[in-house]
Formats: sequence, C-alpha cells, structure tokens
Amino acid sequence: MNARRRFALFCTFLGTMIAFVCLYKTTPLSMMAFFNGSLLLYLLGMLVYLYDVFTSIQSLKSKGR
Amino acid sequence: MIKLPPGMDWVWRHLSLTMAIIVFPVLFSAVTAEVAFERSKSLEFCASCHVMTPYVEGLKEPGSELLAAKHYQYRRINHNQCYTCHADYDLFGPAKAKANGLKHMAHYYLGKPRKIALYKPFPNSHCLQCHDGARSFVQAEAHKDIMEEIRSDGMKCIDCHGPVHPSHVEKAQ
Repeated sequence: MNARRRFALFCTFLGTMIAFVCLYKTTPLSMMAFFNGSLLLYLLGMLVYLYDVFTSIQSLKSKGR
Repeated sequence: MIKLPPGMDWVWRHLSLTMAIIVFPVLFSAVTAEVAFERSKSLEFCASCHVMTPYVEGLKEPGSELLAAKHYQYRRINHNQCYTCHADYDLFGPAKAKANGLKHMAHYYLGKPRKIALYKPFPNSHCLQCHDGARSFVQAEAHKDIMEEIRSDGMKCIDCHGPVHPSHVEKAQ
C-alpha cells in the first residue's frame, strides 16, 4: 500500500474517531469537532484516494494493461 | 486461498478501499449528523454554552413570572423547549435553525461571541403553532377583538405576555 492510500486511510480513521466522540456524547464542542474536523478529514481522505486511483489508472494505461 | 484472475486483485483492493474511504464515511457522517442534530435540540445542549446560562436559569427559577419559565415549569412544552419556540415552522425552518446553531457554535469556539439577539422580531406564528385553535386562546375575552391582528403579526403576543427571558427584564428596567 502506497503512502497516499495510507494517508487517506489515516484521515478516515481520525475522522471516524472524532465522529465517535460526537456520537458518544454530543456537546457543542464535540459537534463542532465533527463538523469542522471529521468532515474535512473525510473529504481530504477521499480526495487523496481519488487522486491515487486516477494516477494508478493512468500508469496502468501507460503500461498498456 | 482463492486465486483471483489477473487484474481482479487490483479491482478487489480498490473496491475495499472505496468502501473504507468513500462509502463508509458518507454513511457514518450522515448518521452522526442526524443524531447530533437531534440531540442538539435539547435544553441541556443549549445550556451547555455558558452564554445561555442566564436564559436557562430564568426558565428554572421557582415561581418565575417570565413567559418562558411558565412554559417550562408548567410543562406546556415537554421536550426541546428552546428549539420548539425558536425554530421557524416553515419548510426550511428546521434546516435554518440547524445552520444558525452551527454558526453560533463557530462564533462561540472560534471567534468572538456576539451579543445574543434574535435574527428577526419573534413571530406570532411560533406561538400560534400551539395556541391557535385552543379554547383558552380563542375564547379569551382579550383576544376576541384583536384576533386578526394577532394572526397577521400586527400585534405581538409578547407585547402583552412578556417578558419572556431575563434579558428582557433587564432591558425593560
């Protein structure tokens, strides 16, 4: 697994941990952390992963597979 | 061990990663947001910001004549007392209340909390949502001549039935 995928998985993991805190005990602080932290981390993870898929497809194409 | 056909391991690996990085976060955030929004309607949630303390204390003050306190202490509203009165009852009311709530939290934690004030004058429709049609409201002598004005927001309920919160008391003094 390359570094980009590991980074995307790490962002998803971290986002999920913050979301769990918000689910366990919803306070203004945990809700803020969810909306400003989790969602951004999820988005970042998705973008990094999609970029990785795109570059991976490009490299497969260039190898003629 | 199952041997996947050539190329399938790539597909399988990416399918698993897509589930973990895209599908799971979308579903999990939808559930978390819904649960959090539902819980954020409670009085306890509003009371957890210290700027709301005077308002919540006003609700619970024994024997208080404040309108909000009477609604709370006589259990005229059973749950989510702040939200019930302060969210609009139109189509986008709940969404607008949620968006404003997020904005308030951002101000509270990230910026300078501003003075607490209503976005617009308190509309009678919030009161009428429960009171209109009720015998005590319709048959009240004081309401009979001004019913149309009340319904059209020409005359405010809180003009006669206020003060609502302690801040109004301070303002009036």
